[in-house]
Amino acid sequence: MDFSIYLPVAGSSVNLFLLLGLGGLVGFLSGLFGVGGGFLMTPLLIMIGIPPTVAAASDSNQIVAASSSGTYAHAQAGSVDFKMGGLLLVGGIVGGSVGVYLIRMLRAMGNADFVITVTYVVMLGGIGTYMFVESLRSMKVSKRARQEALRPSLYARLVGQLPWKIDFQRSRVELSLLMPLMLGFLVGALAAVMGVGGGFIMVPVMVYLLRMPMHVVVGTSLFQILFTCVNVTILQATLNRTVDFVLALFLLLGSVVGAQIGALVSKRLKADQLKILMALIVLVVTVKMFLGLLLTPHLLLSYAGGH
Amino acid sequence: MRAVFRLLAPTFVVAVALVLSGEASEAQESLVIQPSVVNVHMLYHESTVHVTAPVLADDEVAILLVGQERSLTLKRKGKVLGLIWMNVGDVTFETVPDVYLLRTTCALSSLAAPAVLTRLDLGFDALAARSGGGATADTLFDELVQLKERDGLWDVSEGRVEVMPAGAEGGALATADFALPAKVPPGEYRVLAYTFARGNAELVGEGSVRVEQGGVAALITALAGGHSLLYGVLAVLIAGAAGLLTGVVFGRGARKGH
Repeated sequence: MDFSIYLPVAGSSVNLFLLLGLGGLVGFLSGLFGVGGGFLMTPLLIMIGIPPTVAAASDSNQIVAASSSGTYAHAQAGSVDFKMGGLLLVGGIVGGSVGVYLIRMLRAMGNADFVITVTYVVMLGGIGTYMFVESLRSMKVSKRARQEALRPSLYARLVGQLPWKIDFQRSRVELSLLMPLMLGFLVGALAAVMGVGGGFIMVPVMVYLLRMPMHVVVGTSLFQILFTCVNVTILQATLNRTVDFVLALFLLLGSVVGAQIGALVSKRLKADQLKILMALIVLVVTVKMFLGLLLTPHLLLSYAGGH
Repeated sequence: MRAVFRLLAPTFVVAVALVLSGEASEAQESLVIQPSVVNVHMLYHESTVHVTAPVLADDEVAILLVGQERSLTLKRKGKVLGLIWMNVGDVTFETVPDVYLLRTTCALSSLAAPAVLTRLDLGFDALAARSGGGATADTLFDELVQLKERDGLWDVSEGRVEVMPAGAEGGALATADFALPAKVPPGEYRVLAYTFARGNAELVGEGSVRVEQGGVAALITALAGGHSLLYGVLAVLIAGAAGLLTGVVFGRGARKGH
């Protein structure tokens, strides 16, 4: 008995425990940091022989499970800001549509792959480095210095000038309605260009630009990812027929358990520890991707699709 | 004598196969292919198809299992700015089989002259000669072979046909095994057996093997293909329900723990 399972849409067979393990690992990170994990899972699935288009689409399907599980856990703990999440989602949907149009235009011009790759490396590298340095600094500085740093910066003063302010009670911030809409639009557009859910961009945006507390960021990010991935899964199933439900099912069996454990661990870690851990993971993925760009590939041909 | 043997051999091969398998199997012309239908189910990983062909004891033999010819477009990697490797465009091979598994008794070069092998589509050189797609595709054909070999869809194995004496008058049976991995797409595959004597090639048998999805696998493929919206909505609902259910179970566990 080799414990393989046949994936009808992918047209290949994979070891059952490998899928459960991958699902568990990425689900754990999802519950811990509030990211969908697509930027990790899709390359891992391609690595084990799943066609790129099926890997990306089925991953969206399993993220629905992981993020609904994580959102439920965080909602129970009172750490989901539904108002903020809803506004980010509206901005994200509009931004995503613009991003899809942009990528279609770039493909027609013939340089889409270059733009996608450069955006990926710059975004991942930039976010990872910033989070790492910032978290390290904030772990070192004293409380007093931290209070001094809380004096309004130029950015805070500019944001303060914007109209239509709303009190986001869960996040304990008062911001213009335009902020989550604009930032949601920006993240949605970037995510569409890069072909990912955008959790790993959204989390730093919430922390550094919306100034939300880390424990609310994780739950709110998952809430937003849930709806993004519901939309993507239905679109992929209908337009491209690339969702392999069997693949998603075994990944989600691992990921829902992993997401719950991640959410439990998340509560026991300090915000700075969470940020520095996520920064490290993002940096490892960046380095791996950068090496992939510099080292001569084993094969010069690959199947179409994927990131 | 050869002609007499070839006339009687199919009956003999079928009889041997029936005795060996213990079940009725319809002869596909002069080849015996077992199983002739490969059922791909949810626990499918790989299946071995056993092919038996009537030959003469001193023949060299090639047995080919080949799929539909299609146009195949792949992404091509290249160096950008002299530094980074990335997809730089598409490359299309106009006519290449989706599956190509060849077994021979000896080295391909010993079977026949290159022109004969090319005419019979035997060997990767023969496939390369008519794959089409222009100069870029030609230079990348070796890469295509490696990609297909990695998936177990293309393979040329020399010395993997066994010839065993059978019956009288110098008759023999040539046998070869073909492993069909899960990546082999459902469809009809031709099986061809050639013998080579003094550089001359002869087609001694032709048959087919069908790969088809069955049970739950077929049901899922039909739903994904024929009712894609329903399939997508169901996939989302099941995933969401599984996530919420786990949330509730873990939530209770966590509350009990406090």
